[in-house]
Amino acid sequence: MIELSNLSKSYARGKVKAVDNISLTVRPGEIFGFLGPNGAGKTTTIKMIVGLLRPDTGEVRVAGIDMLKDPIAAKRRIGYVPDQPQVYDRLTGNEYLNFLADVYQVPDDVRRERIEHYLEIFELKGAVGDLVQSYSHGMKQKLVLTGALLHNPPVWIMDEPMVGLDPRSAFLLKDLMAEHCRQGHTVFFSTHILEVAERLCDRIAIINRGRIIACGTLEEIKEHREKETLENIFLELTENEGIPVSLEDHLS
Amino acid sequence: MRAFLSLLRITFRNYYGISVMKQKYIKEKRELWQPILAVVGVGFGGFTILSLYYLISRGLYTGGKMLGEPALGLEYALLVSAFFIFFFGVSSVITTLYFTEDAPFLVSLPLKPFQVLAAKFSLVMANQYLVLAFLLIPHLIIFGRGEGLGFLYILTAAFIFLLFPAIPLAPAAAIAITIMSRAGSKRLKDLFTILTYVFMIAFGIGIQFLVQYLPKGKEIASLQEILKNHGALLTQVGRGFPPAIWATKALAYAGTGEGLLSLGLFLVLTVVLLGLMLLLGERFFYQGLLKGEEVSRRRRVKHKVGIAWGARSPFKALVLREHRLFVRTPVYLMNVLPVAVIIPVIAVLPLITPGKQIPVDRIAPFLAAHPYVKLVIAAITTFIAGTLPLAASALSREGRLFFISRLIPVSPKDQIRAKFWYILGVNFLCTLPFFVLAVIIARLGPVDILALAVLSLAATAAVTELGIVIDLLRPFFDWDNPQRAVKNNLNVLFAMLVTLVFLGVFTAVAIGLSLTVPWRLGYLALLLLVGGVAVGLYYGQLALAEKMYRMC
Ligand SMILES: Nc1ncnc2c1ncn2[C@@H]1O[C@H](COP(=O)(O)OP(=O)(O)OP(=O)(O)O)[C@@H](O)[C@H]1O
Ligand SMILES: [Mg+2]
Repeated sequence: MIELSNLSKSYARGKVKAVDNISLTVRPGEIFGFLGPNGAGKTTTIKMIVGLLRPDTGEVRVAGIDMLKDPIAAKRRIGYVPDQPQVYDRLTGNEYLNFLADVYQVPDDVRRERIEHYLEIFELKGAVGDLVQSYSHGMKQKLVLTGALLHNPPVWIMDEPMVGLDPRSAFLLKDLMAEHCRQGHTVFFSTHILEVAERLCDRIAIINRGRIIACGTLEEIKEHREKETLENIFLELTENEGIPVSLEDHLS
Repeated sequence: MRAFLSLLRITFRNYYGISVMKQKYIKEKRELWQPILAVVGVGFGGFTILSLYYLISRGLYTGGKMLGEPALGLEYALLVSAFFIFFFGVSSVITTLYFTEDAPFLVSLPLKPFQVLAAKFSLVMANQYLVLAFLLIPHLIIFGRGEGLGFLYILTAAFIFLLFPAIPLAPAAAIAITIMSRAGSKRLKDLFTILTYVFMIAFGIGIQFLVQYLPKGKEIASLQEILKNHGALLTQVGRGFPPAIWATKALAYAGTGEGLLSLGLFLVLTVVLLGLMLLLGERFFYQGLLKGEEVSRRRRVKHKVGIAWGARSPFKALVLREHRLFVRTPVYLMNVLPVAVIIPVIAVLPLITPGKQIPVDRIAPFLAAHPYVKLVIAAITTFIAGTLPLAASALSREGRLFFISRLIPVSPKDQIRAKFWYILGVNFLCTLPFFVLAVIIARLGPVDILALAVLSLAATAAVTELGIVIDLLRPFFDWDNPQRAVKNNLNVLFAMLVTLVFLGVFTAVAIGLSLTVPWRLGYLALLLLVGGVAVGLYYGQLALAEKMYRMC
């Protein structure tokens, strides 16, 4: 469903290699977790997948469609949740959702049903007529989630989707993700919450400084390593030169 | 199509805050007096100016009629409108296309780049209609009534009115798209913005200048001949800008073959320009747009770190904040720097245009005989300072981050003080090009230069303070695009009006003095007055700041 091959992206005229030659395949029916420390290149990768950034080199295919060749068709098949919920502040929730439904060409009856459904789930019904200005961070996040799922896209791409959600909503979102994959669709999301990745994901990739340093099922990643938990593995793999050592120096 | 219409609707709704207004005024019925007062106030002011303008337009029409060319006034109006739209629209083209926060959101949607471009361009066009209505509709009415033209005329007029902004703005957008697609990063994008702007303004002024420079002598000799030719004067006047001729002819001969032909030409040109722009946009628009996402990081220079972390006084830190936010936001620079350049250029053009030259060498003796006239220089510098948007958006520019200023443990007085001195510096610098030019042309001596500079500074301080006071009274924080903080900010308009009032009083006092006391004494009295006002307002704004920062 998502194929990345030899994807690279650098900022500042090559001085910062944000993503360095990564290749990945996410299969249908799979929840894929994308982990990595701050500044590792997660958001950059995701922006390239959804067509917000043009890769320097490499290819992105979503649902079999080349993002660079036919961006419109590819974008139709994606439900994207960015890392920050950016919504037009001066619109109401309804206006925003209807706009998205128009743009993604969701028929009238279907859209009403789906909007109702997600608003119900996320308990936004009471607020959807209000201006987005008056929403809390979590409410905005839920509105963005609703908007991203409206056109029932086969591929969900979410950049830290749990941030700001209350435990109940986070739980519901995880449920939705699992259900989505049971229908043979795909979820690709980045997160800093390792337990979520551990429990939810079929496969995981860990990215550090633009390179993928581990990829596979949890078992595959744990294999041949004496550390037991994902947290320990993550800490070990992403240990940047000297930092923990000097920390130890300070502590002793 | 539905997707595009929806995009268009959302763009306008968000931009004009239609939903916000609905909520505020219709649902909650809150502060309904505000929009009513605004409408009444603007309506009253607009009506006064409009009736004056109507009289002038009538004069132009009658004059044209006497020459046998009643459409002359109309053509002038179209030319002036094109000029206005170009100069005031260019910055809005750049910022609306390239500096809005919704760019990443829109790009992630399954929309064609040209659709997004078309929606944004429509917004730019719509923003011109108010000015265009003001400039054009009186002429359209006068001409239509004077010539007794009917339905076809009205139809043609509506067409031309709606499409007219596209002719100056579509090429501007095309230029912007082409240049911006080459910008490699955010930093370059900022630079390119300014470059594009300067380039386009230079381009516009260049055309104006060329048009004025075209050989005039021969024509005047053959004026008789021109008048004999049907419509020749129209062609003559509009030569620099053919669409104005076509539009005028389409209106004047509405319903006839010639009218249709002209309308056809006008429409074809509009469609071609718009099509070209959209074509370029489909290809290059997203490139420049997405490039802005990349912020180049400066390589860390070790020895600089020490300076960067050196302690400063809060006052210095605040001034520095003002400075950085100003120079790093191209929109602000764009709204300030050109004023400093354009006004001197406009002031000098008539002096160097061949033909009706003002005798430069007679200015100095004239000023020696009528010393009070020198005050015109100070008045114009004050006017320049009053039109600059920085003071009237002193707080507004902080936008939603204003809470930071309320959090920091620095007294509001000190914060306003920092703003004031910084803005005064910028405003004064912006008046300098004109001042220097005027002083050179008028061949003033050192005493006069000093005297006028001091007076200018005091008056600039006064209008700067007036701007800050206005912004303190009704700050505008709810913007999502820096362009709106300065351009769509009514405070800037209010500040200009208040500046005009200030200048009116200034002129009245100066005239009174010139009739009663000698120049030296009169100058001192004026300086004392302006200085007094400036000092008074200085403390006034500080006192107001204490209130304002606590209130909201
Ligand atoms: N707009 C930008 N301009 C320049 N460099 C950028 C930009 N965005 C990201 N970078 C750089 O690219 C690298 C990867 O950033 P990215 O945002 O992809 O990290 P991330 O993995 O999403 O981090 P986080 O967990 O903090 O969200 C970082 O070194 C960052 O400094
Ligand atoms: Mg990120």
